[in-house]
Amino acid sequence: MRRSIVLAWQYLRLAVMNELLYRINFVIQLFETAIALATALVVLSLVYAQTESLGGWSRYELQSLLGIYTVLTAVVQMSIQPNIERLMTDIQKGTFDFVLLKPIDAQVQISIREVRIWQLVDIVAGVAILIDGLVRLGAPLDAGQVALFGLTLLLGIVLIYTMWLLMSCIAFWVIRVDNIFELFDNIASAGRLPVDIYPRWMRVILTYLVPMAFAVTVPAEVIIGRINMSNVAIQAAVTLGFFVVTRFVWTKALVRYNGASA
Amino acid sequence: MRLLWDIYRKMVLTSTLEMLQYRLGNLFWLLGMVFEPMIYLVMWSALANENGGSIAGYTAGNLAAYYIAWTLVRQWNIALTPFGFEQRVREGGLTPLLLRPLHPFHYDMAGFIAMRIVGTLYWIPIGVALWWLFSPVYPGGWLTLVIFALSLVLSFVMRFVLVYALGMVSFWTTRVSAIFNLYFAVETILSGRLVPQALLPEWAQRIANVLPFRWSFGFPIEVIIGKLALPEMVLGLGIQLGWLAVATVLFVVGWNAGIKRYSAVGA
Repeated sequence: MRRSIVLAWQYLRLAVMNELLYRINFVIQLFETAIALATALVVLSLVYAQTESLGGWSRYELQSLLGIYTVLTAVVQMSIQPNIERLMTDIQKGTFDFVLLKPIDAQVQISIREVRIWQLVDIVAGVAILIDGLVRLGAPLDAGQVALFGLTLLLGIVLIYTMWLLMSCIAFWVIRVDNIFELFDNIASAGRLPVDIYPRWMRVILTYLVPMAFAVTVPAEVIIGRINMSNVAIQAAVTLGFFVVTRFVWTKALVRYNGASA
Repeated sequence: MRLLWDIYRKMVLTSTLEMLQYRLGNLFWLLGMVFEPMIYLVMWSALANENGGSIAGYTAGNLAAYYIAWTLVRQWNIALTPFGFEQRVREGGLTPLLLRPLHPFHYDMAGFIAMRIVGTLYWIPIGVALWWLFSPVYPGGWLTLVIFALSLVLSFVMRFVLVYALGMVSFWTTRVSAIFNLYFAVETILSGRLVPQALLPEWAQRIANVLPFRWSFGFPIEVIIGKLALPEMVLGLGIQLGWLAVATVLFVVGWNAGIKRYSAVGA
């Protein structure tokens, strides 16, 4: 465990040092984040120009949810997606051999190798939208609520991570899976609205196949003060369940691997 | 001309057959594309319902019709992105294309026509499923259908040339992702992709009318869902042709000036 943390830290340091060579990328990221945020806020104001509440969510409640969604997608793009993409290339080219040769757990290793640090800009932006939304809502927050929010958000991130890893395990059986990721990503974009707004069939997909219901809606409910403990409990159970299943599938997948072109 | 036609026919045929091989991949890709409009549809329908049944003249049935047509138009809107062109310039992928007997544009165009054929085939079952799930309201009528088909083809060609022309910027600088992203962000809002034009504020609608985006996306949709009168439809087709002409000029000028600067990096 300690070794993994040290290793993760070293990878992070390396990524930071590498990226600092290309500082203009920071400006570009800043610009792109601004565009994405502006688009999202324009939509929000278009919607609430017509109504007071959308599916029971007021403007600033929805803005807070949007902030959480932004943070979650930024985490995916910062760490989860680049790592999984590298894993895919490794499996296709057979360079996954090098991972297996190193004396540290393969799953840990493939999960920490890549970091895209400029995505931090998105995380900051998401947090800013969230805080702005909460301040405008004016609802009092207590420490327990904030802690519970942090916990549910963390669980949400872990859940999304296990889903990505689970999908990438398919690559050990069929080599080309990029379409699955694209589909997942597209469906995940539905997470920018609270899932209870969608028709039933979409809700089912968003809960069990692409669990944005747990990853975004549950933390949002907690922070705006609509705490529903049974939802939180289900979220924790589902996350734990998927984590164990993914670990199991991963070990099975490792056995399948036979060094494609090596 | 005759030769060009023959070459196009052969190239489209080969690319179509090639693409048809990846059945599962195509299906996943299409399914993914269907989800985005469903988000907007749900959002605006919820609004229409809370507003007493309609919003800016759109009932839930109209909105369903809008976003189902959206899925088809979106497909026909796919073009060679300037990012793709930039990569060719940066990595030198353009060099072998220049050695071929025809202008690279034709090979790309043929490939994308094939994509339209395959995409439309795959779209049919998805369209039927969406119809069943959301019960849209279409006015129908042969004339509307014919004009819709025309506007769909024009929207494809017009946007394809326009976006291709934008790619010419890469001849001068290859740090262009910010420019392109800004272009696409404005397009997303003003084209009718995010929201039907009628739901935008008045001043934004006026801007949308003089920019090309609406004419390559929202216009064909508004035709098929019966939001436009006949003179408006004909005018729209004319504007599409006008933008196609502008885009062609930009492309030709940009290409001729840019290709002289191209130095085949990395090839």
